[in-house]
Amino acid sequence: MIYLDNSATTAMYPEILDIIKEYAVDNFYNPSALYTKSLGVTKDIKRAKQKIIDILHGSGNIIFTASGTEADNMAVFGVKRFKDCKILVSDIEHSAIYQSVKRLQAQGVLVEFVTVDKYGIVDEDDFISKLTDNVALVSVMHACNETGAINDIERLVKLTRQAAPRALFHSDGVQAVGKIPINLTRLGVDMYTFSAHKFHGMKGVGGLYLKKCVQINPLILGGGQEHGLRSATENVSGIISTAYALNKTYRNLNIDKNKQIISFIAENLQKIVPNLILNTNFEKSLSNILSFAIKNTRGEVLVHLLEDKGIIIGTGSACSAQKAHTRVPLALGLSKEYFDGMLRISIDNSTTMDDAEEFVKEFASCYNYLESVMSGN
Amino acid sequence: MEKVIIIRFGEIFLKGKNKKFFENLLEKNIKNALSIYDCIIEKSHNRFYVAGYNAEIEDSIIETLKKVFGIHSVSPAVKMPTDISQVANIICDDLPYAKTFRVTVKRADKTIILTSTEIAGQIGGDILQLKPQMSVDLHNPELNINVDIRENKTSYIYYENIKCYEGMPVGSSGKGLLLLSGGIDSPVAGFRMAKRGMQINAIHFHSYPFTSIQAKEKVVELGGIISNYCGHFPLFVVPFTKIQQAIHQYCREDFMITVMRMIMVEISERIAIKQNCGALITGESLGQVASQTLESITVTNSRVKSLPVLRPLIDMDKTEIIKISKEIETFETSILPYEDCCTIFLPKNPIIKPKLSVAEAEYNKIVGLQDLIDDAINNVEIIKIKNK
Repeated sequence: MIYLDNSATTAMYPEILDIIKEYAVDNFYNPSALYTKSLGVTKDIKRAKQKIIDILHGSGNIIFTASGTEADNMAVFGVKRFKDCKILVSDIEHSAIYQSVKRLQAQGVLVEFVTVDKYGIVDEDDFISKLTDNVALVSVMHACNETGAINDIERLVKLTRQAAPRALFHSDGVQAVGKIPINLTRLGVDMYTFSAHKFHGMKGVGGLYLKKCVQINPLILGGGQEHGLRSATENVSGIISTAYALNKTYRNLNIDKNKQIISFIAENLQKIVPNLILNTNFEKSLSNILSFAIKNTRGEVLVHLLEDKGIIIGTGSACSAQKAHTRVPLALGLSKEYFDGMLRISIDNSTTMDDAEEFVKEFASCYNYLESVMSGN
Repeated sequence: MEKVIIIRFGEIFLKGKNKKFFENLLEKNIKNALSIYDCIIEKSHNRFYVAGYNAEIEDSIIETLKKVFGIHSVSPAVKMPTDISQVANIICDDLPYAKTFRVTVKRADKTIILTSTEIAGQIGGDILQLKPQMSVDLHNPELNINVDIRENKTSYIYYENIKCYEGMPVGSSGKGLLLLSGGIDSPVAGFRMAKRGMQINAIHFHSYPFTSIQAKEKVVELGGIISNYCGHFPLFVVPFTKIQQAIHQYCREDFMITVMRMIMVEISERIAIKQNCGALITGESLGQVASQTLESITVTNSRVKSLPVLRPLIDMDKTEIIKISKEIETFETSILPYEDCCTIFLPKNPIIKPKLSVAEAEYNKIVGLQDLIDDAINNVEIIKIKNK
């Protein structure tokens, strides 16, 4: 099987099973307890956290959560708001941010959405025009889960500091972490979300990086773990394996190889499909994602046809499984005829050029078959 | 003293000579439904009793019984050897909280000299002595203590009468083949016919890869929910892709749905006859969509040669159907977004009032249709649907 939906999730590194066993069976102690064994576990957690912070070049703390979605929720709901404040987010934020700010909007908080270009990159002029000094929170995703577009977070943070000094800047880095080198200090963000299963870690582990001195309110109260910001007994094997997975992913990262594969696929798709729109701008995008849309075509059918040939790809968010979610293609300015035909290829470090060639070959045959059905021949 | 659940019969109570048949069927259905619990069913005149179960599962048993058609009502009760002087002693410790109460006595055992009212007075007096904080309110009591004195020297005491669906025991009114889509209506149609005692088989048309595996899973899930009411049944999944493609290839766009439905009922009737089903069941509601206008129904009906097509929702509004679908718990599954027909095969403007002659002409345009139909029928996948 050729798996080309790594932006949805990745296969966990098998050796993580050993880490799970170590901290779930052998060294299973509750880090909050007072005996020496627990202290050992606490130290391992601390080391893992520091390792993650080092890899991401941060200077602060990480609050571990049960998912990237939870970390995003924490950023939105945890920010201390003030009277008549405003929240600014981009048009194509992941639902974890979008639905959270929608909730606040329904409660009367002023929320504004910044438009993006056809590749999903935040429109700087629109951003500046909406960046007033009453902004309490800005949230712009680092890399777009649909198109792979990379936003210039460093610049957006600088603009925010000038125009809205009271604002906290959050960036959802779920897709970016493990795909491009991250320097949180240089980016200057106050909060940054990641999720372990996107870089071959376990599902059920996410984290919110908090820059030094950044204060937010907790969503989950209880025993006061994670500096009181996320109570719950720590997911020890999850945390420790996340550090392992992140380290290994960055060691294996070969951006040039990914770029070659993605360009090869893109070039060939354009030859096969006459009305193809590329939603990915290779100059400002993750090297592992290719998003495209085909006119008047059901992307979902192509997904099934390819699956029957042993190839797994992803649909865009406008697939029939989530009919109501036409938000992203609309934000990208796609016309209606392309909504159902949005597809996404996302490779990882193990994808080879042979896989790409096989995909292109099978895609051509599936697409031609579907075309013949649709034209009634 | 023992905890039991009283089961009262619905309409079969009124049956004449063949009442025995209905009773036996109801007993069998109850036993099937309760087979997952450790309990026994006792039969008595015009009633059943569930006994021998652990008190903790009483609520679950009642929930299951509420889904068995043919039951009028159920009551969790305490069973004791008839002894009027002991009733208050036995129930007082576990009496539900209430400030006011009344005692209602039914005395089938005529060997007891006291009248029902006198017995009620005596038991009420005993309760007041044991629970002096309570008082009697004959007209509007918070708690009605029913004492049912049966002829076999046994009494039952219960406080509530839980209404069930009534209807007829499933299996008493033949077997029907339900055309089950993933929508809101067809599961409700199946439920309604099962309520009238019909045993259900179901058929679904699947167009993979133009619809997803999830669409089929959704139908299986809906089948599972319906089977809580009608028992386990086979679901016939017809591979419909080639026929869909042929319709798309040969027929006028506005007639695509009309012809599709003609073929669907035709295949359904053939499978129904093979499975000894005496009817087709559809979730059609007059005028709800283009394919359910009187003209469209006339056209699809024309393809059914020998079986009646039962349309239990024909006069119902969508809101009424949704209400039932929520009540029987199919709604949440029905509204999952997986479509059962790909938009490729859906015309933008389907014909609302198709003429039979035109529809037949379109139907006849499909080259090799009978072979495609035979092929689909020969490749039907049969899924056993079991209670959830």
